[in-house]
Amino acid sequence: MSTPIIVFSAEMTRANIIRQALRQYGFDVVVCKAYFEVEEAVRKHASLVLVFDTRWGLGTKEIRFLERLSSISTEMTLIVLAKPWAIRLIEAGEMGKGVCLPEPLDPELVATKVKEAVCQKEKRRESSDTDTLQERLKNFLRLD
Amino acid sequence: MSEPATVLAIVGPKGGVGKTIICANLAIAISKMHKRVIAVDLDLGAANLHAIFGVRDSGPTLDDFIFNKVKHLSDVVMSSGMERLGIIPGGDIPGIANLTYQKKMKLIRQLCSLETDVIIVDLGAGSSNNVIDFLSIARKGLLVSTAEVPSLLNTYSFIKTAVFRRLSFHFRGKGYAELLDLLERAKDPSSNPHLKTMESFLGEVSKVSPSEAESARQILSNFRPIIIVNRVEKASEKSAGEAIQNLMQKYLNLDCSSIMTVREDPGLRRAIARMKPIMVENPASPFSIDVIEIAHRVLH
Repeated sequence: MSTPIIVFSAEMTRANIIRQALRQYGFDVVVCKAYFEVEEAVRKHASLVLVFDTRWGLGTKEIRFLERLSSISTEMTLIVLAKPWAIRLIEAGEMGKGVCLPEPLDPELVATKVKEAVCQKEKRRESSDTDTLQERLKNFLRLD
Repeated sequence: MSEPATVLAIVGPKGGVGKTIICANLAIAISKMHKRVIAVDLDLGAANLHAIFGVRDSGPTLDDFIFNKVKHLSDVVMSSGMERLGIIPGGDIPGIANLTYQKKMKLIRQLCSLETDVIIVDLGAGSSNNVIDFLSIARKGLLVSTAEVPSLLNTYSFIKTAVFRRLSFHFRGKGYAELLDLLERAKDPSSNPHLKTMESFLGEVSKVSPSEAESARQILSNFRPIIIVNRVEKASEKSAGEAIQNLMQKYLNLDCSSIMTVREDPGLRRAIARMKPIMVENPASPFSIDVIEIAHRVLH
């Protein structure tokens, strides 16, 4: 089973729309309604991507929460759905790897961005596997 | 006069990597592309290619040709039971792997003269001189490995041995004793660290003869094997071929023609037990699909 994508939204309808779109791309999805659920899910699943819907509120608390999540999982990509005025606030923060998508909600666009993020991470992981194997072979062959 | 056949050589530097199975099924895949194919078992003294095809009564074998019981190699070609595909079964006489030079040259001459479109040669495991010499007659060499470290180590060592042998033939033919000596020293990089890479070796060659260094580079550029990583189960194993390619480029100045993978296939064991090639038993299996892709790659 692949690592699931975490989706947070305070509004279930939007969460379900996003989940549906992601499932069509073959992703497993974990939906969270509360911040503590998000943090638990991030720690449990070591997910590659978190989709964070800020439609129903964005303030300092949300931004600090996102920054804390970034420090828990440095490799995770954040995809934040926000109103245009909020995007500037988010981008000024220290969220690490992130993409901001403006309202209105475009589930296809969200799914596309998730897929891009996952593909990039998988390519980096494969490259790292090749490098490790190569180093081992070099050692055995005494090519150092 | 018809065009000479395309010779493909299947090499597995380590035993048990699946080269004979790939050879047999690749022969079938190419025959289904409307090419006449002859699959030749050159695993001298340990022949088993005919078993993969499910052929029990082999009749005359390669041994009979080598020991002059039949005059022409074409007399040993037998039907595989499939259209456009013949087999030259190998023998099982111990010690036959140590062919004399004359016998080897006679075999090579007649092999290359077979009336067919494609000749696929299943060579023995290891990097003996015979294996490397038969590889050198092929238009394309396919090196079969698995993703495991021991197999990859053998693959790299095989490639290095093959390249050194080609260079050795070349320098010997040109009468360059000094370059032969340099090549000999390059085989022991721990004692000769300035010859650790092919690039550094060629640098030393060019001090003796710039034209020979250029000839050596040409020889290297013509050696472009296809690496096949067999029995791939996990995505991470697909990178095994790339790891070898990177080492080849950095230390031997070599490029692969391509790197291909063949997936682990549970259906293969059943097919082998039934002595039926999986390309016949299940042409839509993962193994068959991957071999068909290899067939397309080698012919184009």
